[in-house]
Amino acid sequence: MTLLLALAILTQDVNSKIDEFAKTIPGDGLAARVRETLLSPAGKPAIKEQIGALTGEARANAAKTAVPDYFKEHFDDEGRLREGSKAHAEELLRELATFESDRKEMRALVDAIADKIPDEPAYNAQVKKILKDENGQLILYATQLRVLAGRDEARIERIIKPLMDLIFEADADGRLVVREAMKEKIEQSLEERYGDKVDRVEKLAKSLAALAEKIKDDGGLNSRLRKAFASSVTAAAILEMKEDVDGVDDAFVERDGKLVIGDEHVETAEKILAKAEEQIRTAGLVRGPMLRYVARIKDDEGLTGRLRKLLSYEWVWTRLDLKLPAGASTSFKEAFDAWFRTVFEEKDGGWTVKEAHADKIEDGLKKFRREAQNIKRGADVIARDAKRVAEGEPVRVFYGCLYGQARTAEIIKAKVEGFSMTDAQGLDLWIAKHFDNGAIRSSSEAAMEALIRKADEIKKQLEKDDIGK
Amino acid sequence: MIILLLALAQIDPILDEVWKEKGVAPAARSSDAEFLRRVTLDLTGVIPTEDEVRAFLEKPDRAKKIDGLLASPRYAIFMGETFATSLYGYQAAFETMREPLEYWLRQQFEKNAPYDATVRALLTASGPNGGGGPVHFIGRFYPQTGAPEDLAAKVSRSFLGIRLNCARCHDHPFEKWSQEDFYQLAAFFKGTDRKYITQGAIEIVDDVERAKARWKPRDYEKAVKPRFLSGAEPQTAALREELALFVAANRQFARAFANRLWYPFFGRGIVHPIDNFGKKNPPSVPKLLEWLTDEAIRLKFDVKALIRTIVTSRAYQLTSVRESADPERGRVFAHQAVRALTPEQTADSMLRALQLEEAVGGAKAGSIRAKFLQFLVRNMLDQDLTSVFEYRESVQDIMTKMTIELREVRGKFLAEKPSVERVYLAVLSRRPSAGERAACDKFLKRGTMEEVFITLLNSHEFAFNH
Repeated sequence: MTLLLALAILTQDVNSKIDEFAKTIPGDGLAARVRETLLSPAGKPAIKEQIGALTGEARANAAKTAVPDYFKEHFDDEGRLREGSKAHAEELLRELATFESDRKEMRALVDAIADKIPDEPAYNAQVKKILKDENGQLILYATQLRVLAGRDEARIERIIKPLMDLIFEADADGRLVVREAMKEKIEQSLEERYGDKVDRVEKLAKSLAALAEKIKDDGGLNSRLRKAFASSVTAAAILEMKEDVDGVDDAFVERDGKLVIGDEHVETAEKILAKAEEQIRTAGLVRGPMLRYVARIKDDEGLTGRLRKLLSYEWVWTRLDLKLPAGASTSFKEAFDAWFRTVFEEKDGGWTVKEAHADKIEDGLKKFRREAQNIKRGADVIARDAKRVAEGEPVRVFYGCLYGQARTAEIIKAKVEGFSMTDAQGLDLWIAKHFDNGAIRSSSEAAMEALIRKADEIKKQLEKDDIGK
Repeated sequence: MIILLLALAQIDPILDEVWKEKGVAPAARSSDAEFLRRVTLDLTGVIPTEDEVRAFLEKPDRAKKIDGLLASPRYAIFMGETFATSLYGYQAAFETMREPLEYWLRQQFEKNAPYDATVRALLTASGPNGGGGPVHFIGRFYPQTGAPEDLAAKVSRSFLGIRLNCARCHDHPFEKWSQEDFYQLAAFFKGTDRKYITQGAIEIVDDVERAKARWKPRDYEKAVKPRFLSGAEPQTAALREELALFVAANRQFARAFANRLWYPFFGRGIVHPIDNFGKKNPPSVPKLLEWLTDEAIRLKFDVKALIRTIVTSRAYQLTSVRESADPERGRVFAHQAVRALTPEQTADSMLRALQLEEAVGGAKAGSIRAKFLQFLVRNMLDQDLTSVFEYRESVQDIMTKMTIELREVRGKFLAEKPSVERVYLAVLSRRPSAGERAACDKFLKRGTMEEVFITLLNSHEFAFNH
């Protein structure tokens, strides 16, 4: 079979697959009636109903056995990590280390502010209690801070994926290429949005990077400029804010052999930094998933190759209109601060839950407790199955702690939710259930009669009135 | 060939009979130049090139030209674009986009897929929006699971030519449709789950359990079961599959299809507007509509074949020049209509007149085109364009603004310092009359050829298909 033919069969719609299969059913009697039914338009909804029921069952079964399936997938009968799961385990351990480090930072941050949170009104005390409690911190981390701190790459990937799915499709070798449907749009978009911009940004980025090395690392504004200028994201931000970029060097003066921003340019520098630093944070958040995508894009001479190159620039990532969570950052402290400031406000030298939240805080706390219970329940289920992981397996420590159990439950839940079966796969299930070597199984005769009956009923319905009369 | 002749023999005799009955004299046959410009615009969405005009005027074989245009790649591009506008509109909405749908439609027209198969695929589309085209149609009008009202209204308008929207809040005041009819139609989508995956990503799936469950619409007092307007009731949980069958098997579907195809070639449907079939809005020539409907069914919804039948008719090839403005003559197609170019036709025809596509390359030309379209369509970006393709802005206003833009993107054509005849052939697809030639010669003593070009581009003759 040629590759093209194989691809054609893979991509053909399920109705054609049904027709193709029907034509292979041999025999007379019931077999002939089934064949005729499947080939008729009225037979299609009849079989699709049966396929729908089978895929529904498969989905329910997958949910029921998801936890043991997960452990079977990654561990053998002795509880030893399977060879193919090494990367997965390493990823989990990396994640745990990040969590431990973030939690340490979180404790310090909470310690620094907890005493400044008064106990009145009562909800202040309740929120403070959660913040100080070990499990409270863990739940807060798992439900909110992890995402805000950019630790949830899968989530970031889920935000990027739809855009990539719209633009690219996999070719026969699994490399991503621009979809035919999107070529015109992409060409236009590249022309309109990027045109000669790439060269301009790259040119400015080079000169800014050279300038950055000369800027004084004073721990303040100049250090921020030094850091920002080292990123091409800042060059793009400056170009967007200010057409005339020739005078950037002139905004600095020499002091002690290093450059510092001139007093009259401080305001402009702050404006640039406000924008650039936010965009640098965005680029940092999407870096991992974006680079993985770029690596999968085919490096050809045409539009796909051009787009691949464009998507490898960090400043381009910030212009993709990705809807990242507000306040997200790769720095845990920044993420914690962003979260804290959405909940608390400064008052009388301390911190109190914002008045604007006052009427919603009770509900919010209830929801938080519910989430905590759910996480605990999910973790308990994982803990039971995790016992089969062999002693001495390094990853056992992940499944042995509440954080790891909660995350495993989340990973499995995402897998269950992502369960999908195409109609074509459902048809394969249907064929396997009802046919044996092309012949109808005797146990399926009643199901086939039901199929024919349904199709006959549909035919009768099709004969109803011309509605335009 | 015999079948084609039989088909030809029908449109014109039916119309002859009607004209005779009404005492209406048909217009004369269009000139070759008039026909060529019209048919090229109608089948490929752009005016003919200067060379095409010269070649056709030299050897005016109309049937051969029609076949050539139907076989050209631009036919599918134009049809895909036209149907995408009608089915989707312009503005991306609810995690869907027009482009994948338009591309899919183009492919359908390229392979000349039967129209009923295309519609069935649209109605039963499922999967993630990141992939297929038809999902973008469903997703566009199905903003959330359990809210299928917009989709039901769109389906009945687009594929059956019936406006059911009135029946959404109360029984239709003028037609037979009740509020219950509307919600029973909407109930065919009750099993459809619009799964929100993440920002920008959705998946359309059918859920058997949901399909079997009771559905009580938010704005209707009681729960309803799916029931098609014909009274047909689904027998399975594959509700959309059955709806697609009920829609496409009903004669009204063929009627709406025939009328939809007729409309762009005459500037008005036999039932007009094309999405408003009903007792209060009867067809202007009932016999013609029923014959075309029979023909659509006989041809198994072969789009090209039905179009060929329409454009090879004498009626299509009549001139638009008429002595009186009697609207009745237009209603019975006794002359061709003068129709505003669609935004796409305008943009493409300008690019072609300027030979800009060749001059600046595909992406740049596409970018200029997109800019013009944005400008031309502007207020209509988010409107439902089920029944109208033409824009309604002041043509003169638009043309003036566009020619200002054009000064910045002169094509190679003007750089070649063309003659008056070449400018007329390029812009108006005809040679200048003796009077026009003399007027141009006089003008060119003080003015420039670019000004002549811009003037013709600003003329009503360019802005309309006639």
